[in-house]
Amino acid sequence: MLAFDAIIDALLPEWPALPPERRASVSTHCAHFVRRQIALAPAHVRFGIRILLIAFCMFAVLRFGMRPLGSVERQQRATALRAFALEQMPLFVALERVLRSMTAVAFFEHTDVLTAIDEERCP
Amino acid sequence: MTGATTIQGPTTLTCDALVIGTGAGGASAAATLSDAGVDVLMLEEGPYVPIDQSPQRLSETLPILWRCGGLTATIGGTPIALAEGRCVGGGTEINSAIFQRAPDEVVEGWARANHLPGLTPEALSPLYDRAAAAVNASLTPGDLGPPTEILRRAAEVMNWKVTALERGRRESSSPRHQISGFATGAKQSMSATLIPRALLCGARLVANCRVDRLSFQGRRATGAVAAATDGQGRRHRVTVNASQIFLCAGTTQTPSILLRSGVSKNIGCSFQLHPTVRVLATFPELVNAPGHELPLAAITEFMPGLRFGGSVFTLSTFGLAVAEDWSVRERYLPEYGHCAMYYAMIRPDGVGRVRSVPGLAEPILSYRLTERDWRRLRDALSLLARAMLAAGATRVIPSMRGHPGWTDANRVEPDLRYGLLRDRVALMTIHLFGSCPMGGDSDLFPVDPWGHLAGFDNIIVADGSVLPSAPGVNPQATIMALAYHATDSYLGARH
Repeated sequence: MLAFDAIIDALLPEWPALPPERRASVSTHCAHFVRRQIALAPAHVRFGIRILLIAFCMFAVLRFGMRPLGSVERQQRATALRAFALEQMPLFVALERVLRSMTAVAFFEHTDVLTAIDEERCP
Repeated sequence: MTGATTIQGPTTLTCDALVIGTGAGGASAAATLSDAGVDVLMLEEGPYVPIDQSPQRLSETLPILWRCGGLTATIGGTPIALAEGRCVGGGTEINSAIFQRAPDEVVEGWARANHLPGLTPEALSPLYDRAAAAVNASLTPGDLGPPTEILRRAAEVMNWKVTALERGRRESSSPRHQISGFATGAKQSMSATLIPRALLCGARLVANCRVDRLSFQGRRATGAVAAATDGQGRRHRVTVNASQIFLCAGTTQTPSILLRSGVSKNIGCSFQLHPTVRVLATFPELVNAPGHELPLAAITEFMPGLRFGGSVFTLSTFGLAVAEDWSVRERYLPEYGHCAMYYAMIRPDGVGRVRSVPGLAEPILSYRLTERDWRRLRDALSLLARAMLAAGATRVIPSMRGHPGWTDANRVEPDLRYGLLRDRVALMTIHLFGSCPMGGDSDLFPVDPWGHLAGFDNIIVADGSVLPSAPGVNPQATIMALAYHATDSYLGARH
């Protein structure tokens, strides 16, 4: 798993609960969507997100060592992202919000997610 | 679509009137001109998406219909996220088609501030009527659902004035669109109304065609140089020769094209918007039902300075709201059915700037709120939160990072006594205007009262950029009315 995909995977909401194989395909879909959205963003936003990703990767190296980010447990990645966001650097917070919001849009419009929500409401 | 032109190689096109941009202003101008027999060519940077093939989901519309995939924001001070359309029909394809006339006192204020003695509510009234007829602006009949009822209840409890909102709509029994709440094909955007009308009258349309710059000979514009993208993604140079230019590319792109063309006097330096702060409100009862995604009423007690309304609320827009502050709001995701989103929109004093930077495709937008604007936003948030709690909300969460929300109306004012936390509040806007304002003094304003660009004989600007300042309401109706005004005066002079 690429570092970018691993970051988007860690941003996926916990609700609704999805079986692992469904979550993996939703995660791939979300990473594809967010990547495409970033490519459409203005140059200064793209540049900022690139810096943010590099900064997080450096943060992850300090936290997890030289392991590929994709090999780190999803929960650990999510915790690291939260800790990173808690650094409260306004620029990073704004850019993290961009990644998270695009991930949320792709996630909550994925058929598997909508099905899981329906199943949860009407078991 | 009849009249849509496909570009397959380097092309030179000739027309009487070149209309750049197909949003509310461009479509109104193009339809009026082609009705009058003028040979019209419309250039649109974005794609043409037939109304019956319009994507249903936000994740499908963002990359196709929105500028920069919806990932645009102002810089300078607190960033303000903004939305613009980039497709045939422009912003009218992605907005909620709310039709509102600028309040009389705002129009009178524009006339005074910008030396526009002819701009009166009476003069604008028939132009608004024409715009309303073009999009069939009308009230939505029947049960408008809980999100609208909540706003009405809030207004009733607070003893405030509430107004039903007209939309550009027609009856349809088709399934409702997931984003706008319209039945499929019922929304009367420009691609459903004025653009087909212009094409029927002989106008031509080139979509996926970005204007690089205008070309000039002395005080006259001779046309434009553009780049069209074909179905295979290849770019082709398009040269347009025209005797009249209607620049209707929108509030950010019109000044950008002018700046790229070397026209800079008073251009882009008075960019304005409606700063908007939102709250997420949770209710004990179910408030979301299919078909009732958008509240169709607004609290107008404090107009024109301040207006409260409701945002489109779907699972994905809820996800966007939660993403503003994930750590606090993630727990509310399973309560989706009990949540709704409302906003407070102010008419600000702040002014920004549109800058064109060589090498960058998109302009840089800077904007800074004044201290008075910050106080207004704080007051607006306080009023809105208390109104929602009065309407039965169990919790009201402001769009401020780290804020747990209010459950008690008595906690709102003390909590906000020091104002909004500027590095934590998430502001957004969907209304942009004023980057090339009209005015009676060509030394101060780039566009005259009839839309003519100062210093040039044959360029008329007809889009949101000419609005003198924030109208305090959705600007589509005013943009259309002013575009009719400019086009009528051009046709009058031509005949």
